[in-house]
Amino acid sequence: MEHRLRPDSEMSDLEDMDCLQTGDPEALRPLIERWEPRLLSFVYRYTQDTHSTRDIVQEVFVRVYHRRSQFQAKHGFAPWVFTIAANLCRNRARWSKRHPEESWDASSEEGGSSHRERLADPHAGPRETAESEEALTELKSMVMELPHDQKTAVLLHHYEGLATPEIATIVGCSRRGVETRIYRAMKQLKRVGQRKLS
Amino acid sequence: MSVRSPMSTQPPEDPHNLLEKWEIKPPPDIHLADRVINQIRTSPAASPAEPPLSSWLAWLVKRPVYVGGFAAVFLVTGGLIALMAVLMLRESNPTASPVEYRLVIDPVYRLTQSAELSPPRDLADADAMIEALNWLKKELRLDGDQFSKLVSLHGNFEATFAGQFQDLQASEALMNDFDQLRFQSELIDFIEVYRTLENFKKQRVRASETTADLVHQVSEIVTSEQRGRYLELLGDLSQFRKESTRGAPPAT
Repeated sequence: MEHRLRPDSEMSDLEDMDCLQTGDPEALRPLIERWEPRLLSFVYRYTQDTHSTRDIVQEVFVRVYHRRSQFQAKHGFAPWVFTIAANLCRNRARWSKRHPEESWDASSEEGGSSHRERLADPHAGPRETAESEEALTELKSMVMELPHDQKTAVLLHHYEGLATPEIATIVGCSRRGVETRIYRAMKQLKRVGQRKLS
Repeated sequence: MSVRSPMSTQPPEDPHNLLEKWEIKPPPDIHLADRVINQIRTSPAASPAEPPLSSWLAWLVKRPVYVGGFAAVFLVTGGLIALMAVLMLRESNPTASPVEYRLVIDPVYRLTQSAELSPPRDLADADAMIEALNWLKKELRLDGDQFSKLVSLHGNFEATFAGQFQDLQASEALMNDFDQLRFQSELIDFIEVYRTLENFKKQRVRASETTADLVHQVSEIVTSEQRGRYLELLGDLSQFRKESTRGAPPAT
């Protein structure tokens, strides 16, 4: 897992949100600095599209500002900000499904190189060898095919290190529901490679 | 780690291991904070990632027929709801009577009664229809469905009655002018007078037929018992017409 919540970080988030309540958008800077990598990581894995990722992450922070009065410290900053991000990701996915002609991927493919690849791993090389690349590509494809709830749950659990109650808040289900979603998602992802074998 | 070739017989790799290999190291966007803050300051309510309202409006702009249809439906529905609301508000205290109802549905009677006032004025104002229908509802004990149908039916006739009343008023004014002229001058175009009188008679017949048509349609909506009471309230239609024409000037 790439990220873990730290108590000192959580305290900083709450302090920054307090500052934001005054209405000064400059108070967003430390939050952006701290949360941009995590949001980019989650949103990119969800959308697998560079352009959408940049748009959504920017919009997340704009909404953090506009909805600052709705923030409740007792629930923590991470569930709140990831809820915003997950909702925007879902909306973008719906939008893309309805407007396939406006897909960023389609335009990027014309140039012969995918934007997602550039963001996905700018230092591609030894880590993604030719033999593992195929399985990884299939994994990404299957992640894209997962339903919103399962995708959100598995990405937040595996990469962002969020606890089950936090994911339950974001997805809008029970803790047991989160476990079920992660189980189903992993079961689906176990089929990587099997499609070609079959 | 072992990765299978398409023809490999090795078991599928653990998805947890594969997820671990999916690394993302996005370069930090050094201008993100500036863009966010700039967006907040320039357009506080902007929401570029989720444009449902704008897309919906764009969809409507591309389909003007739907827009027209929706607008028409909203107008008609809104008008009916407003009329029903006013009727319900006044339902508790109907102030109309058979006279008011006749003024509404009989332009000839309305002309006669209005002309008898000094100065002459239109007795059936904009609220007269509402008052009259509320009175009718109470007298006939109409249920909701019957009342809705009668409101719609009378609404359909309202414009026709108003037009006929105006035509009758204009013809009557013209005849009054001829009367005045007859006392002042011997040079009268009797052919024109004849034409005006004939026209007036035709207008009265048309108006009476329209009234009879409305009465007939009302009778088809209500029950036989209500129909009897309705005709009783109106009086005999032939008498109705006769009374309405009583005030007309004699044909020359």
